Amino acid sequence: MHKKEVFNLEKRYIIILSLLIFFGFYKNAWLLKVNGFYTINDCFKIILLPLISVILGFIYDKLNKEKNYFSTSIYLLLLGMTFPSNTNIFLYLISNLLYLGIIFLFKNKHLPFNLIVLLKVLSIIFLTLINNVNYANLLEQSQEFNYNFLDKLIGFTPSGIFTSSFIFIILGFILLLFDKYYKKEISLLSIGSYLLTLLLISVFKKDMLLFIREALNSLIWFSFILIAPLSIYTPVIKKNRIYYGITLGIITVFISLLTNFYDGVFISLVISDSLRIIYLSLKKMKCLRKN
Amino acid sequence: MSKLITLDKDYNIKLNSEINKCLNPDYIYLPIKIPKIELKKNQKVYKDTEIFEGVYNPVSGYVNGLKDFLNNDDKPLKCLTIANDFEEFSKNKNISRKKITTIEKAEFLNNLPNLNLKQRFSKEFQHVIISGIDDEPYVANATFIQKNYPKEILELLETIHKLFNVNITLALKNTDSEAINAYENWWGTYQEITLKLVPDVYLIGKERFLTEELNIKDNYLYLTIPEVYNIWYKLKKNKVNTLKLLTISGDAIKNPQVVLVKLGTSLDWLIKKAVLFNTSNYDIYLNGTMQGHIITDLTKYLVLDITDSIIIMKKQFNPPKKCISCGACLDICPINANPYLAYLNQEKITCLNCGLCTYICPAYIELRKYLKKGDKDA
Repeated sequence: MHKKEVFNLEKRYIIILSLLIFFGFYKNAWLLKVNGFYTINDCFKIILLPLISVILGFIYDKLNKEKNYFSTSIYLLLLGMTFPSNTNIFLYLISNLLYLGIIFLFKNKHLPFNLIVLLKVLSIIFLTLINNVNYANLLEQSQEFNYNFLDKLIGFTPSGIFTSSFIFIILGFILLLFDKYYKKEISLLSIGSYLLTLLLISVFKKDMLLFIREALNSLIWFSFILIAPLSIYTPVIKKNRIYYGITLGIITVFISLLTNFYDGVFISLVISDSLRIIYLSLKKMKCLRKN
Repeated sequence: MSKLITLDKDYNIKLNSEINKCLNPDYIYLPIKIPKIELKKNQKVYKDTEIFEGVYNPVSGYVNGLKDFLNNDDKPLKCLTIANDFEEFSKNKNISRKKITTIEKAEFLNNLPNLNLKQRFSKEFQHVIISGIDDEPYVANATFIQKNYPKEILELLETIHKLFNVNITLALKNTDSEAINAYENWWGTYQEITLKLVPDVYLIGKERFLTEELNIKDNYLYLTIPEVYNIWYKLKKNKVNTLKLLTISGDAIKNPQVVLVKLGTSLDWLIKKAVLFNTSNYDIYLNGTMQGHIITDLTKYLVLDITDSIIIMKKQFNPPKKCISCGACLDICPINANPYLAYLNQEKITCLNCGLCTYICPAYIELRKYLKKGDKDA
């Protein structure tokens, strides 16, 4: 007998992502059109990005005989939503196709690292090389804004194209916390250790503004809540999930502060995954030696 | 306390309050436990006689050859067919004691219905723990025995208390109002028996979890309600009980019920006789939806002493998906086994076979396929 699941994790993700896409479209397309920066065509281009992910994921799932708990579109959306708003549509398409290509190649294997994060880091490197990383949209670039707490909370600050709404991310987090299969230890502990480390550093530096500025980085919260706990890429054993969450939070503070990267959280996710791989390899070696 | 959970159940499935008696099968099939049998075809056999060691004939009739069946673990089972003549003729004298509470200890021990019980009673014990709990969802055998024979159960427990000078604890689920109410009028008479109400969680009736809940670690004897009733029956009537209470339930039938049936009855006959289906699309679970398994050919199975239930559920179309490594199976396992690793390495590991890993899996993977039933309290 299987447990009947009516409102499953996939549906919860769909609701949260839809809300974030809706807000992202309002902030990065509609407001720009109202202020004369965008035409209707530009707005259409923005809405085309999530559509690309949904369609590509749908086609992949149809062609793939093996059934998945999460539709591939969700992974593609999670990857694409973090891109800057000025992202080229072809780069977006290539990143999505690369993701599909890799999961097709490693179809029957369990990837020990978060593929979304890896591709995101590669895209950051690529965008940095062509000097095109800017999370502020045209309106935000056009003038100096003095963002207050409410702006940050609602999401009127520079962020990924569909990741700026802090309040929707938090509401989504509450929705996810009630799901049995959501790895809540990872998100809770990464957020907890991130905030605590950041607070300690801010107190040490006597700069509480640093805490306020960094603590409300919606891209970090988006990554901690929606990307980091993705089941297929994270530790299975509860104890390891706890270590993973704590490590991720602490590393994120240092990477963000040291490198001054807005999207340093993705680099810290790659480092956390690497540490996990090293830990598992060492454990395996220990077992082999024992035998 | 182990991490036991309450299962999601369909509370619309309600059992008929009366026991349905299905006691007139045309044939009875007795599992052959010895290599050679001395009975000949058409030889007359009598009710309640020991046909083979430990196998009693529940009907009178004629020997009708051999037939192949499967046991509850799907292993081949050769059986002797007895054609029922419906005369119920027994050569045993129908001796019935007036009261079993006057019995001597030696007589009690000699009259236990099977070897397993004799071995368990031969050990030292200070506590007797009685599990009046049906763990499997939709199964109510223990409840129905207690509802219909509360005086008999308490009479035997009092006898054990007197003979062995031990503490007796009867454990019931705190939600099992029928069983609790059944004893209501008798507590004044049997004050030496302690009633313990335990939470309604899956597996609480199992020895290891019930003793943990009751905080009794050593020197105890664990008995189930069907065992208690069978001991009482043997002592009272001086013959082994060849009848069995069996739950037939599920959402694919119109008349969920508990049936009284003879051991060795074909499941095919029983289902045809007792069940009214409300759909043609169903799965039949032998011995429960959690710990049992789906059977397709009913003609291959019998009511054996280890058969407890037939649960008929509407077919669920849940094709297995790729494992998402959520770790829910690891988190829920009450004995901390690793079904995830067993699934990854495609190797069998030993466990309780409780089915919780399969139940909780969001990807609908039949994890129980990779697990095998262990010996201890399985």
